[in-house]
Amino acid sequence: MKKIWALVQGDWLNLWRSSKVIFGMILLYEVIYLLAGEGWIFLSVLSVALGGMLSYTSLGYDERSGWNRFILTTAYSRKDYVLGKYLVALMGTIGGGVVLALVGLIADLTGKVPLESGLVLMAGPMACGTLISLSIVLPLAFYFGIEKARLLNMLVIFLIFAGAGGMAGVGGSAMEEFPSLITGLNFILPVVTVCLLLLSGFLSVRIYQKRQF
Amino acid sequence: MADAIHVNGLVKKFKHFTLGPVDLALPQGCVMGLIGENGAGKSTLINLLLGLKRPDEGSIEILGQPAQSDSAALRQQIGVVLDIPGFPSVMRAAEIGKLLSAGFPGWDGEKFRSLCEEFSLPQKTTFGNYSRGMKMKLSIAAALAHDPKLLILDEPTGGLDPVARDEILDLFYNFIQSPDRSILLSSHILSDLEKICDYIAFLHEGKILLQGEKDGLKETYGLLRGSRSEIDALPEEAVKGLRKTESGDEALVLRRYCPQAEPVTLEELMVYLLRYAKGE
Amino acid sequence: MTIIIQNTSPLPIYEQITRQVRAQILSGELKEGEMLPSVRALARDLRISVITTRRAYDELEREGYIQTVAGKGSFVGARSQDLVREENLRQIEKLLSEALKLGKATGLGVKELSEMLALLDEPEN
Repeated sequence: MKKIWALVQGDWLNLWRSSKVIFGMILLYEVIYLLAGEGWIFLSVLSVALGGMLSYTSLGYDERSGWNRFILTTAYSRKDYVLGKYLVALMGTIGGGVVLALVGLIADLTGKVPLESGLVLMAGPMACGTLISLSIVLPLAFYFGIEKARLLNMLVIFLIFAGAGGMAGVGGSAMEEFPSLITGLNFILPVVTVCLLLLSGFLSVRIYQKRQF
Repeated sequence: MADAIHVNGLVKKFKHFTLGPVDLALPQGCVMGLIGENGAGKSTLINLLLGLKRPDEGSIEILGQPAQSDSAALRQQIGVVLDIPGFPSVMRAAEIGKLLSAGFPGWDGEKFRSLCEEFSLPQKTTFGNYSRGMKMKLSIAAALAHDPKLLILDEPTGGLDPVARDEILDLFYNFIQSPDRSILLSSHILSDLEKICDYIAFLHEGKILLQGEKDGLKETYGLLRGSRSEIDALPEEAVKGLRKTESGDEALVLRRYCPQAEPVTLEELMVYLLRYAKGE
Repeated sequence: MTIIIQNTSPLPIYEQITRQVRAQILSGELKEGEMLPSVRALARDLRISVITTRRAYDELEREGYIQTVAGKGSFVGARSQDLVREENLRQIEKLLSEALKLGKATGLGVKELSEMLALLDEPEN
């Protein structure tokens, strides 16, 4: 576990230095929302998807630098590497969700947007949506690699955002029509997400262990 | 004592290229140079040795264990320098060291630091901004820092100036002062291999053309320069390579038939066997 | 111990080493009981293969000039200087017998051959 944590720390250092743009975007969107108000909510919710996407970005960097290949000659196992990426995905997604929730809180406190708009509540389902998308995307990335599938990249990014947005949309409209649905969603969705994530992780480890370089 | 590397009947098939069957043995405590032209299969062979690729047929044993095993204990004992250094480009030397230290139980941070200093690697510059030579030096420092028993290096001196190559050569010599340490390196710069190698494996179009003690090869082959008539007069079996010019001929010969032949360097051996080969 | 290797020499490197070690033993540069560098250290200093140095040491040991003690190193053996001297004397005897034989066939006796020997020595005086 210590090994995985070291890898994850390395990944975040790498991401922080290489992807300042993405962190900047998240900050920018939240600021716009806070200043401009409700109409810009869709920008704000992107933080979750962007956060989750960082794991995918990280894979891309590793591939380009050759780290994903070199690491296989070290005592880090292939399993360590894969699980590290999943941990990054979790941290990124949840991190994005926390940002979202905080922003929602700030918006409410400053009187800009009332809490009822459900922004804070959106964070959970959105995170789940993103993670579900990543559950599909990550095994594909481990199998095909990132450089080779430019088209797949586009599809992937779309999926991640769709997953997050879809949840937001579904969650939003469902809440208006069936308030009781929320409780059910709050139970089932995380469970489903966790299951899918575990399955995906297991699959990815297998894929990476079999892969040749 | 088990061989450091033992390869038996290795075959790996690709669409347009087949490596093998290859048999290779590197006794412990020795240095083996892998030579051959681009595309001969050197990197493929090294990838197979490192478990990056899986063979279609045959077996590979590294330090007595199968190469495929994803065992951390085995990886700890092998120091690797790949053709592409593979470190994150935004990290600095010390950060890369920290990242690797968790990856190797036997990591010696002090040794890594002192090697980086010896190589004059700038502490504040990120890896992506290193020159080719600096990247290589860092890779070598990282490979040595976890005290491996076997070094496997793919073109470790590529991009290095002669002074740096000399420094690296000394490092390798110091590494093998211990009789339980071995080195396998592939290189185009044959003058480096010329000195330190105990064994040479010559790879050509996926097969081993020659394999054996470097000294043995130099005692087997020689270079003879003479007039057209002198060279033509040599027995058929003696001549393994021939270069004809207007000003005289040069032949790669077997010393057995031509004891008067001059010493031949590995580079000349390779060029004569490949470019100026006389059909068998 | 100083060893000079010439890459252009027709002599194999291991033989260059053995010759120089023998010469140094004979001249007394290498004394009885003196320790030689390890095969690996020598290989590093001369920038050659370990197999070469090992071969040189093996031959020297076989001929009795040095002894290798496991775990310690290689030493110039007792009486090594005598050994080299003996070997040289043997060579000289052999060459002299050949000269005698040839001399007899040419009608030269010991007296004439001795005079020739003295003459040959002169330019070096």
